[in-house]
Amino acid sequence: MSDSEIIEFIEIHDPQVTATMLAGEIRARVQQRRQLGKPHVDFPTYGAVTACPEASQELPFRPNLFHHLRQANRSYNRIETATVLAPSPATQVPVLGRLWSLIREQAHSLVLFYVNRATVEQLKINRHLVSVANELTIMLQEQQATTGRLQQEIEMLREQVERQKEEGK
Amino acid sequence: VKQPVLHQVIVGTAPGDAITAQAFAIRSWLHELGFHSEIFAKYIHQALESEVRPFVTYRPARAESFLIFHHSIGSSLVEEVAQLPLPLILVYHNITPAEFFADVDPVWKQRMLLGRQQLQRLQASTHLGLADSFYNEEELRASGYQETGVLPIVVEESEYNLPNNEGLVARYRDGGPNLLFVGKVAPHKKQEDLIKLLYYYRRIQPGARLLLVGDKWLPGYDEWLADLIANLGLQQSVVLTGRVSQQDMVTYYRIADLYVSMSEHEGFGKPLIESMYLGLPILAYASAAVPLTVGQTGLLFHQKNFEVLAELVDIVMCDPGLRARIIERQRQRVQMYLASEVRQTFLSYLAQLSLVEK
Repeated sequence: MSDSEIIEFIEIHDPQVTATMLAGEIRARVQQRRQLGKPHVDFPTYGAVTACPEASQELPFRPNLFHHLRQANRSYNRIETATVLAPSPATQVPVLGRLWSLIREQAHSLVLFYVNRATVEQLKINRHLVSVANELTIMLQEQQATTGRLQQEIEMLREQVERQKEEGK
Repeated sequence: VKQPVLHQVIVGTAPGDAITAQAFAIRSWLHELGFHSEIFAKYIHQALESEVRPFVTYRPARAESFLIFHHSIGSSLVEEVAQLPLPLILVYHNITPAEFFADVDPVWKQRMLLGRQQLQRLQASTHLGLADSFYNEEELRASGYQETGVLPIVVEESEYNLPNNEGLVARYRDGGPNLLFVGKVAPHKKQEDLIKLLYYYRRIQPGARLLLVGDKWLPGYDEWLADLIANLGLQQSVVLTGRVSQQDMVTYYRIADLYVSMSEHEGFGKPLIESMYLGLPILAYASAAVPLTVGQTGLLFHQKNFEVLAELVDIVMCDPGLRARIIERQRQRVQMYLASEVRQTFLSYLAQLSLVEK
């Protein structure tokens, strides 16, 4: 990270210490720390799902794979849990209607409470599965790109060998 | 002469909750002014059962000309309040954006979405929209509210001038720098980022500790944090206190060396002004209302690069002059949030509504 990048992200209003001064000191400290063998570490993020990769025109791809992947990414968290409490004739009855509404609402909330516990667990699994599918597809795309490059290289080398053979004759 | 009446309605009340504390402060000011004023809620924490009445018992009285409603979350209570034959004084405390829950908890996501929809719906019955920060006032205006104002969250000094819990002081005042964050353990408060920061900071100060004061709230997030702490080998350095008493909370502020916030959504950020009042320098991620609450006092950052931030934390820790200047600026700023100041602001709104003489 450069000094200017650090300056942009620090906001200080002090008569003696400026963002520029802090940036210089921080950069020097980070460099020193790295020289001591303390590497940069990346961490996981709670609730994060790996972004869905797009099919690349340069790489061969199976339309079905990307169809299912897009669908999974769109729907893994589409879980409706709103209570549906439409007014009914019973809720319109004076005094008792209000009481009935309260009982209905409490009953719906209770069901929702327990359903949501299971839903949260399901959502966690969905998140992991969709992330794994996205990660695997990204890896596949990277491997396809590597394989393509290697094939081109083999082709070039093969042509070179052919040419050398021709010249040797 | 009939006693004037002005009640408040709130979805849920709990000890230590900023909105509940604000409702209590307003009630005490109204009592001082001679009003009959009570707080009604749908959900009442058992510790507050003698202080707060259930909303089902509420009936508008003839002497009532307005009702104060605190809005912060979607609830069926909002629909009931909107149907009452009384104009509202809406106190808006902001609603956490639903996207923080989209991938982790559908019910909470739904409550937040509903809260935003209900904010629009409440506009028709609201006479005056009061926000607890300029940031929240902007949201009110964006939602179409015409008559708006700001009524900040208040610091009631008597609640902070408490003796320390000496047991906590003995346990944690052992020289290792203490970083503090106060707030419920929730995805948008980003306690996970504080743990990541601590990992880097302990490479500089191996004795450093992170004190996370706040109620556990979303079980999945608690488990995930516990895993992260274990994976990073920080079990001995991260303290998750759960809900604490007011005295313990004040003690944690006093034994901390720096208040650090990575929160990505704050409608106001009461712990920020508590830090200011209790003389703790602030280093905070500049999200939502945080820059407006902190003003030009503490240190803000706009990106989360933990390696860089750990060095920044160490610089602030090791520079007594800088710390003293930050604390002094914070002390000046917190004056505007003290009860005496906010009470005057509240009185001016009551006068605007002809509820008290100008």
